[in-house]
Amino acid sequence: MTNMTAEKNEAQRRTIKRTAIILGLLAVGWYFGFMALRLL
Amino acid sequence: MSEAATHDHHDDHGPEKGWRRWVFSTNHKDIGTMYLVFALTMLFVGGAMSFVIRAELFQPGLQFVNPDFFNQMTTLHALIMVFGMIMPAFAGFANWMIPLQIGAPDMALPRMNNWSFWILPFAGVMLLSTLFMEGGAPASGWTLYPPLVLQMGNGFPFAMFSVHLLGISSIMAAINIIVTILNLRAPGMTLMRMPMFVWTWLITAYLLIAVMPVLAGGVTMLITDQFFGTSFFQAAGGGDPVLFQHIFWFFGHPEVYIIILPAFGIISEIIPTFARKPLFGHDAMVYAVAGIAFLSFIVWAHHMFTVGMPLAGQLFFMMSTTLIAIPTAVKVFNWTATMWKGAMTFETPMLFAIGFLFMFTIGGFSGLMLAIAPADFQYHDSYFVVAHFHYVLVPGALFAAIGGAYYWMPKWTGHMYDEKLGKIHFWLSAVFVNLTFFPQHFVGLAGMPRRIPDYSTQFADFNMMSSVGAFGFGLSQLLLVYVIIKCVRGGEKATAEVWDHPPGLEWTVPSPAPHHTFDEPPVLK
Repeated sequence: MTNMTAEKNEAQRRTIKRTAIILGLLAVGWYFGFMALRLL
Repeated sequence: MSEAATHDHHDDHGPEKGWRRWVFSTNHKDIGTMYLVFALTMLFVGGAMSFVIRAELFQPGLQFVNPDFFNQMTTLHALIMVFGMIMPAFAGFANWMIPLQIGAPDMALPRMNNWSFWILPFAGVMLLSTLFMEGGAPASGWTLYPPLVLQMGNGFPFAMFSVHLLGISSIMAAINIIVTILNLRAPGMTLMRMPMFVWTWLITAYLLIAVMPVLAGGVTMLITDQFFGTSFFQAAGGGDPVLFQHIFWFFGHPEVYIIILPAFGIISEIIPTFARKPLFGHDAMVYAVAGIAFLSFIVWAHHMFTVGMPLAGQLFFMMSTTLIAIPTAVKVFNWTATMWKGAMTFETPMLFAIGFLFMFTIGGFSGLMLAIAPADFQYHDSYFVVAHFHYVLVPGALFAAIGGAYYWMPKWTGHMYDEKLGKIHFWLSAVFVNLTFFPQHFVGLAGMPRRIPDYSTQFADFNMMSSVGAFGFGLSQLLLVYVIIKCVRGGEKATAEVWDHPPGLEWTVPSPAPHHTFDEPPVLK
């Protein structure tokens, strides 16, 4: 949710960053993990 | 739905002047515009390749190009239209409309947004540059099957790297879209109150993150097979070329829905506006999209029935594929129910939406025919398949994109487009698209194989019709360019609402939408 106060904005920034990092790691992990499956 | 919440107090900056505005842009509207312009450009690049294909197929025999170049054209046409045209087009819509529809000031990750876009032109140019390399562009079909693709010349690593880049761009765009939707919705914009276009993109973005790494993995394995002595797909070294087909289609089938779900979203925005009724069964539509997305992961081998698989496998993939008809029918019936007893008018966006409804359904039904394993043994690799997927992609996805462009163009430019020219554009497109692709069903059922530059004389008449249709369809799209340029340069001023009480937050901001919108979140009643 869009927030207006500075503290809330900071919290929101952290949530955005965390969500993006999790999704990015999922994508990269799945890329390497998928190839690793074949090497098993 | 809400009070307008556009503030001009962002007095520090408007858009930058000159090229810096575009190269360094972090503004969702500017980046959306760049995606859309890029997609329109690639429509004509890919379209030029289809002109080469249809010119060669105008009559039997070899006319203009040698068979290898013909195969390069079919391959590049597909890769460019899928990765360079239709996906960037919908990414452009996402950039422009998602923040406006959820009441967000911009995308959550604006710098990454810039990067997602700017990778695209470089990847596109790299892919096209293979045409001028020794051995030419990839000629294996967009499926890039080994061992065929490994036989191409110096362009191989460039083509593979460009596919990697296109995938990276898509994944970053997907991450941005998910993060934006989950974190930047205006207060009161609960998930189930989100417009269908936002919903379809949220689900599409998850699909992208799930399958793009799989394509990238497959392509990386192709590269290591070629250059580092591995044998993932080379039978001589103990590998299996069929493995690549499984990998490709595990990506490739969800990719079909990555293309069509945002199209569903756009249609779900247009029809309620011009039927002057709320979308029938909004929640059911959300669940249907989610259902389609789930099923898209368990149907991939229906592309491979003729490769050979156990009977149980054939039955599973046949049945899971036919199951997709259920959520898809929910959508088609709900669009129809939305129109039922509505005070309908037929402006250009609505014409494209109704055209979509009829012709996408034709493509859907021929898809059902192809899903039946024993029948597929006959249809596989024939022109019937070409007719099927072009019906889904051209009067399906492309018509939705064009309809969406007409629908939101007044909001983007501040001017009404030329309605008369828009309608002429629709009717020319609708006639020529059917002239192009409907006869391909007949030649396919009669046995004409796909991806060949020459054919038996019995197929000559239908191929000639198809070629005339393709040239007509391609040239008709110049009218779209003219309408867009005319609309950008001037015309009747558009109001904020543009249409007759359309639903959605985007219609609460002025037209054209100011450079910055929703600096403070709108209040949803």
